Amino acid sequence: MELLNQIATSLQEGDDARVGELTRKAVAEKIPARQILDEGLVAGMNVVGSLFRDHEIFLPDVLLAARAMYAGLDVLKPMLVSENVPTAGKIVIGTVQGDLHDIGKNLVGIMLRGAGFEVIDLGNDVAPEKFVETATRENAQVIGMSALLTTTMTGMQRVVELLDAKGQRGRIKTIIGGAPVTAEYAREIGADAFGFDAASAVERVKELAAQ
Amino acid sequence: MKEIVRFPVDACLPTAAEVLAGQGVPAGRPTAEPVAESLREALNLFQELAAPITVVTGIPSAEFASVYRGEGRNAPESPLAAIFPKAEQLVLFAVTIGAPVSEEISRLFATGRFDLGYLLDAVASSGTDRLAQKLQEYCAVRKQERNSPPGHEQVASCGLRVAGDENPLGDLGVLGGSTSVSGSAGRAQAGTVFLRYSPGYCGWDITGQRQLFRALRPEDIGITLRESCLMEPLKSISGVLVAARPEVHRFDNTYPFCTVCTTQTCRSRIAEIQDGKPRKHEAG
Ligand code: B1M
Repeated sequence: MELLNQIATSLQEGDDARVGELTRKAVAEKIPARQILDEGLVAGMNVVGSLFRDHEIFLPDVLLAARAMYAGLDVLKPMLVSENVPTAGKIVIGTVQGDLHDIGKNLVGIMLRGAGFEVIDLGNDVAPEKFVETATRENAQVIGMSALLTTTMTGMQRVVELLDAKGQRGRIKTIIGGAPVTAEYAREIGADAFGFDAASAVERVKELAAQ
Repeated sequence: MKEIVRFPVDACLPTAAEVLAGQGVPAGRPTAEPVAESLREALNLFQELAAPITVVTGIPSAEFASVYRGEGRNAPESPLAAIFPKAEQLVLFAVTIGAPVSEEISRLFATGRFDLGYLLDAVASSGTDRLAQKLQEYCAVRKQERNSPPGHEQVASCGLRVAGDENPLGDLGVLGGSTSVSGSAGRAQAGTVFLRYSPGYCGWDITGQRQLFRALRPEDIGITLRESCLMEPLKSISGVLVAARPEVHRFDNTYPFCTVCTTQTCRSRIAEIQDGKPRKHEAG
């Protein structure tokens, strides 16, 4: 559909004003919200994702596109709720206790929202108990943790241990990432997944949410 | 003796090309106009909000040995352990561009301007790294001009020195980024090169921050250390400036920890002291 293609193209160009305007137009033309989302916004974001993976574009371009996606999502949100369109899943994210570096975590959150997840962002310097309590209360499938330094990433292990102690470890999955974090460290502490970057984090979270 | 050195914001303002290169964008590649516009905005915000300030203090080798030992968690062998005993001079340092830039980054993310927030973060990281580089150059110039090591002399009564006032940054540029104080400029000690080393790199465990902070007390310029060894403001760098002959700074990247190092910035630093051409260092 021409209008949905235009949404996808404007999104790739990072033109948030135009994406908002075209999405409103699509809604006015009574195109179902789900279709606008899938064939307009998500389709555009998928192209952006593959251009990024092929190093055709870079993170700042992706963020502009994501901003445009949000402009469209803002228009669609009330309809997605009223049409009962399910989210891809729910995830609680945060930067671990003692750590304030949240740019990586923010990027992961932005990409996850763009992929249709409901994201509860606890911010930075988050205590292990808060991760577990929030995920339990909100019935989230995944907890995502980020850290900048080897001294702060130890907080991730505490979250896994707490989940274990509360018998929630199988139900609530964990994904970790950040500059000093490795796949090996994730295995060592019993985290369910490791995200090398924001794009791979989205792939891993999709897998975890599907389990 | 401790010395506080301030730099004008322009001294640590990165170029747009530098910031893009840090994002992996190949040199010469055209930038999409919206990205270029956000980057200009980010550079302007940095100029408006950054408050670069640094502190240095000279330290005798024996005392530094105990700072370096830290909490005993360093790698059994490391480049710095071999380098510092051969140094002509050791100067502890800390630099920061202050908290307002980080506060603005958080505000931008919270209000949905994450493209700008992200670019401001990248500008601020490059800027902090540049500030450390400028301090390194300043120390080299001071040593060359007076053969008087920074942090080893009486400072002005208020304890503040504005680098831009006494050593115009244009002068610093004469030396080039390598900070080599050898050769044509008639240095006091021919062949001496200042290079910086930081806890968290090359086998110097990050917990070494605690000893370093005890010896330097960068709280005077507003840098504090959390229990977790994280510095606040976030955009801060600490370490030791080592003045030594170029060959003393050279080492192979064959230590066990080199295999997991993703930055390998030591290679460009070593190449730089070899050919005297400044290169961009990755932050941290
Ligand atoms: C939930 O699931 C997930 C999944 C994926 C997830 C995730 C969660 N969270 C993140 N991801 C992933 O996706 C994101 C998007 O791709 C990524 O998020 P990041 O947050 O990693 O990425 C950001 C978007 C951009 N990346 C960054 O901002 C970090 C890049 C590197 C080069 C870096 C930078 C830029 C800086 N630093 Co420095 N710095 C390094 C870094 C080395 C590296 N190559 O990563 C690192 C983190 N630094 C280090 C060090 C030692 C330090 N730094 C310092 C300072 C600095 C700068 C100020 C110069 C600058 C900014 C720091 C800041 N936090 O704002 C100091 C500490 C600062 C402090 N406040 O305490 C200092 C301690 C040095 C010193 N003594 O002064 C090292 C830590 C080593 C350790 N032992 O912990 C380091 C790994 C470099 C190294 N040695 O290789 C992925 O990690």
